[in-house]
Amino acid sequence: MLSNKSLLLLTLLIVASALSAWSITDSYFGNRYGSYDARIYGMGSAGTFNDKGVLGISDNPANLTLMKKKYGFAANSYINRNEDNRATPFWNQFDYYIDDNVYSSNISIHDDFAGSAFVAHRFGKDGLGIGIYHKPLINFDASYREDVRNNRNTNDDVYANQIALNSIEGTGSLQQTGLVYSVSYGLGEYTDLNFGVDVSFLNGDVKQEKSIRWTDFAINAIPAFNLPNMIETQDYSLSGTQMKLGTALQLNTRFGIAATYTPKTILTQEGTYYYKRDAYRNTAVDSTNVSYKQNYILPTQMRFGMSYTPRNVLRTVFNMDVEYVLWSEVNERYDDMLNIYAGVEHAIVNRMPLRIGFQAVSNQFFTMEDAIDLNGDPIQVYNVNKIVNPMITAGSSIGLAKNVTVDLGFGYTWREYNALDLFGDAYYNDKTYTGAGSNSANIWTNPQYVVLKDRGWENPDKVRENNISLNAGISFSW
Amino acid sequence: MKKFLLLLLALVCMGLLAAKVDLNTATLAELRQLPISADQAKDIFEYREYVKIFESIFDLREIPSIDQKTLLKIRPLVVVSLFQETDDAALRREVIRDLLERMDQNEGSMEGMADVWEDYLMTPQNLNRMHFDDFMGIPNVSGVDAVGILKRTAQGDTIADTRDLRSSAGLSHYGYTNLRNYVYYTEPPVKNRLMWDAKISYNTRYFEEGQYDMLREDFTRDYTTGTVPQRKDLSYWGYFGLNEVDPDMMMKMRVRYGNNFKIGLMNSSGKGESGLMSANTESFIKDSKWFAGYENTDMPGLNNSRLKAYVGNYRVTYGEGLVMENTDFYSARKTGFGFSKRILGITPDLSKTQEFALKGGAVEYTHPLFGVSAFVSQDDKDAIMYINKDGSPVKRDEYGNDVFTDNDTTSPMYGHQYYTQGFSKIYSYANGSPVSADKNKVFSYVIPTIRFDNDELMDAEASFNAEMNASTPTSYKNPYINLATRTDALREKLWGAHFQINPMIGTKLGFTTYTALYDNAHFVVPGYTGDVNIFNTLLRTYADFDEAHGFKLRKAVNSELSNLYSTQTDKYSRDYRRVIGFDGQTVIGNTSIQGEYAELSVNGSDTKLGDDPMAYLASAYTQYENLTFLTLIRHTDVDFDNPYSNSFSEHERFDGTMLDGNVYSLTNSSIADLYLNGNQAQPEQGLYFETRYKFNNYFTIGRSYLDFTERLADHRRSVRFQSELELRPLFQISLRLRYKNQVNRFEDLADRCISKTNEYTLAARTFLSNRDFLELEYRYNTVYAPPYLSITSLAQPGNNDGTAGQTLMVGDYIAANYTHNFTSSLKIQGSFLYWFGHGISHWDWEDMEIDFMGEKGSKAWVAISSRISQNLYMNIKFRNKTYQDKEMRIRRNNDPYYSSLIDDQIYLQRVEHSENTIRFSLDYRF
Repeated sequence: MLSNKSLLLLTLLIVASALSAWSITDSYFGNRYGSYDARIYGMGSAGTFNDKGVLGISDNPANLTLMKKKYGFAANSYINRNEDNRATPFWNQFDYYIDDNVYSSNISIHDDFAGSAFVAHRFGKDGLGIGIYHKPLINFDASYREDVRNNRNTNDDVYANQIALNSIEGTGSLQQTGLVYSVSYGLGEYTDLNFGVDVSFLNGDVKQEKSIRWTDFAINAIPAFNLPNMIETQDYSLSGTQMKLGTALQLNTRFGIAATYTPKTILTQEGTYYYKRDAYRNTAVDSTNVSYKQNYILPTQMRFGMSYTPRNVLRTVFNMDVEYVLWSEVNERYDDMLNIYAGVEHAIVNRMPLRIGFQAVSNQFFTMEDAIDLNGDPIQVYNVNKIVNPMITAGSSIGLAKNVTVDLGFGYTWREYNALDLFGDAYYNDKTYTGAGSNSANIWTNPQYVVLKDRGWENPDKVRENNISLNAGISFSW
Repeated sequence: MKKFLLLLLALVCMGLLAAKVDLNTATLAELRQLPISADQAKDIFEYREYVKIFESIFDLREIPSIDQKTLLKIRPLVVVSLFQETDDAALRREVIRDLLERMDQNEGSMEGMADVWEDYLMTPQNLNRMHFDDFMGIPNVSGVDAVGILKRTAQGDTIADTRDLRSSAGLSHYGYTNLRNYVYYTEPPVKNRLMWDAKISYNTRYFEEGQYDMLREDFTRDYTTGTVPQRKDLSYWGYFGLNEVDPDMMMKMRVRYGNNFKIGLMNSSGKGESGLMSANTESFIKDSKWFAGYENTDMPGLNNSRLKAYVGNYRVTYGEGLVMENTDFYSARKTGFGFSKRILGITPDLSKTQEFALKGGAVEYTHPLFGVSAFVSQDDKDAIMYINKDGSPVKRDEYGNDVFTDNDTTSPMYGHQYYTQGFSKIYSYANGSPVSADKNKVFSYVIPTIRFDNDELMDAEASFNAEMNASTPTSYKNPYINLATRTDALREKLWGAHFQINPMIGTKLGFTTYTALYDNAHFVVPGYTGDVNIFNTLLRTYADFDEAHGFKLRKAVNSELSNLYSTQTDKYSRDYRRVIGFDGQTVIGNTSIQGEYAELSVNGSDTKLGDDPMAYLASAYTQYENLTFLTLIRHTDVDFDNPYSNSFSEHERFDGTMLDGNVYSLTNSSIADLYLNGNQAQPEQGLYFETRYKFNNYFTIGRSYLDFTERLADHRRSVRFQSELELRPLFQISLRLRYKNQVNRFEDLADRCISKTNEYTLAARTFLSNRDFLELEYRYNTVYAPPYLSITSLAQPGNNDGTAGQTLMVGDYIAANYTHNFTSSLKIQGSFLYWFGHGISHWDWEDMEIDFMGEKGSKAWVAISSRISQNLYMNIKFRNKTYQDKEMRIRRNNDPYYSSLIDDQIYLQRVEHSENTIRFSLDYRF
């Protein structure tokens, strides 16, 4: 049996995973949408070896001196539109599972900003540079609404009565401010070796709220009884430091290889957890209000990249990265994952490139469900779902002046997976709150057919999400 | 004196030249010596390095930082030396690049052949030394073409070049234009050297409609029991969470030295299968395909003889594919002519063929007058097995008894094996020896849609069994899953040989045989009658095959199912399968005649013809300069169950059986894989005519055919006709009109009726400059069909005899296809299609796959092909298909025996589907 404290921590972990990031399903650390350098973003975020982008120093600190520039400055904005459709299994009259029908569809938009600057000095073939960047690492903005309705009046083309409103709202982000140091050893005109270190400070304030609120219709339908609203909030801060080591080796005029290593980072998560369900019938208010402090783990990441510049009538750069993330450090039930990034840049006409890219990143998310074991005892079943996010990207640039460029990167990704119902149906069982033998006919149409119970993994939601993102940045470098 | 002056002049010129900077060879440091800025020098250097070699000094103006003034300033100081590509492989690749790119798009049955063709494109064969069968393996080259060339070379004539080849008597235009890319004449374009190519691909595909239905079929109780749990996890779909995006991943690498030494490795994991991420070294090797081979086209000893020897995975094809053509992929109407080719003999195999892959060793020795080859293979195959309730395989003894192990701990015979007679358990045979069995009872080979891990599958079956047991056991003959797919469960040892004599040019006679031995398995298919019959085994409930009640599932009675091949039945008791066949070909004038006869040894003699199930195919192909005509006759017995046969047929095996349309009636829905992924031709006989005729440069009748088919399992007869007329008033514009008519007559107890399909397609194509291409297409389609109850039934139950007549389904679509080449390095292709109505089908222009569509919807795709460098290609394709589908599957609507359904309403629900597919591939060729 788990201790109360660990149970609470686990619960918090689950709540956090359910609420984090712009996608409400996103696991421990949400989706990573790749590089903040808009040029690299359009190339499938394959930017471990990046000798052009100022914001590339946040992907690999060794990119700073790889660029062989003296100064650089970049500002970047990022906007993402997430569409989240959740569907329940759908049966035909022979009770045959045929498909899933969408019961809630939410669109949310969030934006982020990032910036970077550096100075570097070259001593002959060698170089030394220092830079700074600021970017959001994880965004916790989320917005999800779900109506609970009966099916009354639907024959008359009228909206059915709304019984309750479920919502999940999240705000906040984890911001990363990094200092980057890099040295370069020139080995030839087109051969040099770069080492970089990135020490960054991570800070963020997050507020998340999940609630079920009965509507006036439901409350007025059974005025003699109290229908309990539920609210669950988390208010916490994250803080800590992260280090990243990077190297980039320009082998010759055509090839470059690079690698980064980001060791496991432990952040401090400190905040309060509040839960309240109103009183009903002869049941008192259920509430919890605790402060907590716990570790929040960012797993070790190892990333290897290459860049190839062939001879091509459309001047071309091809980048490819492979990344290994030790998710097992976060939770032993997670598997370590391999992610792939690849992109190509063709100069269609001078200074007007077309970039295309592809990436396949896997996320995992963790859920816990009540179940009964073989002896009939209640147990908790843990489940880890792996979610593959394939993504296609495209991008271009506009050269404003010799050293000033506006880059645009566009991305489209989608994913389909199973997930547990975010709000179990048993909560709307008014029998619980009235003590009656059946559901109220004032709330439900034909209550004799209404069977409200939570769906577990035997009938999970099918979730279909897509993200359309635009990354735009301006950079100056000399 | 004159000579001296000339020499002086030359020396002065050389001196001047020597002082100049050669833009194509200068180092960056040398370029910096020019009176230009360091940035400009770097720009020049990078232009040469990253864009192109300078062809003239004026190319400098393409560099943004070099203006006219700078050009004029440095013009006297620089020269541009002539650059010529000297790498023969690079030169060759440029010649054949379009063909190579087209080859790369081949999938399915063509995929393995494309590798071979790619090799021959890159390192062609010496035309003057090629054998008849070598020509027959090349796309669009016929026997008549081959004879035209071979007659010349046999007379000692040496074909010197392409023009010389063109003048060969009998060689057709099509044959010539295709052949010329695969051959050389005197000097090979690429010297023997090390070459390698590698490919990775990532594809998030969706299942096809039948596969969806199969995987979603639930293992719930019968309706008669009342309660239905409505649990998604009682189907494979829900249990294995198949909603998730899960890519197919493939990696392939081939290395070869010229055409002599070749090795290759391929690993592929499909959607829903554990892939590379969870593979250890052992499982990676086990799941990968590989080969190593040696080929020599100039063997010492007999003149012009050749040797091929392969270990690992190889592919074997002979004759018309009746005895042996090992592939997992069915291909309709595979004539062996045009692009529908077979590569005869032994070739390495890195295709996605997994079930009928051969793994072992193969050797082939050929001479213009004869050929001999032999092959052995041992591989574990996937199979549909008979299983006990705990998921373990049912054992079979040598006498044909099902053997079980006593697991009753209270029994004195606990742990012993027994078979049953009535209700009694027999523990020893008449001779006193204990009952013993070590072979598994196997139903069939299968190509699973998803190769689930066996342990995971057994867990799933246990979960489904637990649910089924909750019902009244008597509602099932077998209240548990009694048949299931198991991967690598069937150990097949196979050996085979082929002998061939070629007495005259263009004439050959071959003999092929193979024998497959099953070390650990007995194939058993129950008969039609008796207590344990095919229907008890396959069908879920008594009612499903209850003839007395006239249920529609009776159609299973006459299907091919009752004729499934068995190596151990009442009439045949051996644990091997042997097929023996003869093939032959001869060319008379401009006609090539070929055929193959094959017999499957059952209870006849191996050496006697006509006493066993057999198949034959004979065809005659006549070609004129602008006309080809093919007549083909074929017959495949119902009992001729040769999984390695992939000959010409109209349909694949089990088409129109309950594996096709009534998945819900099966004890295990995954048995439907026998049809859904079936490679084998259906037992049929038929007559097929095909022609092409080019009237002149403006009018062409494209591939047009007429096929009369009788499916022998149930005598369903079909006629299919298709013709295409192309009008090309200008080279750049083409108008195509295509008409297809198909009539199927069902001679079936349940569906005694006719379906008629008419399809009209009009396409306008424009071939723009720079190889750009635009096509607009419209198709109109009608299907006059038997009364599909799911369409004709009123939304109320009960008999509807009076109202259910024939059904006319009408559909049409409009489509646009476009290709734009930015340069030779970057190409974008796109397609859009919108359809409305039923029964419409579309052959995806780039996908090489056919798509049947209902209701309404649209699909679109865009593909970007980037040729990153001479060797490296990247392709990204995104496809979306959004459609509404009628989701209702009406099963027993008219069934008066289930009174609980009488008052049920039928709701024709519709659900919108949206499928996103992304395909990413990287190809490296060196």
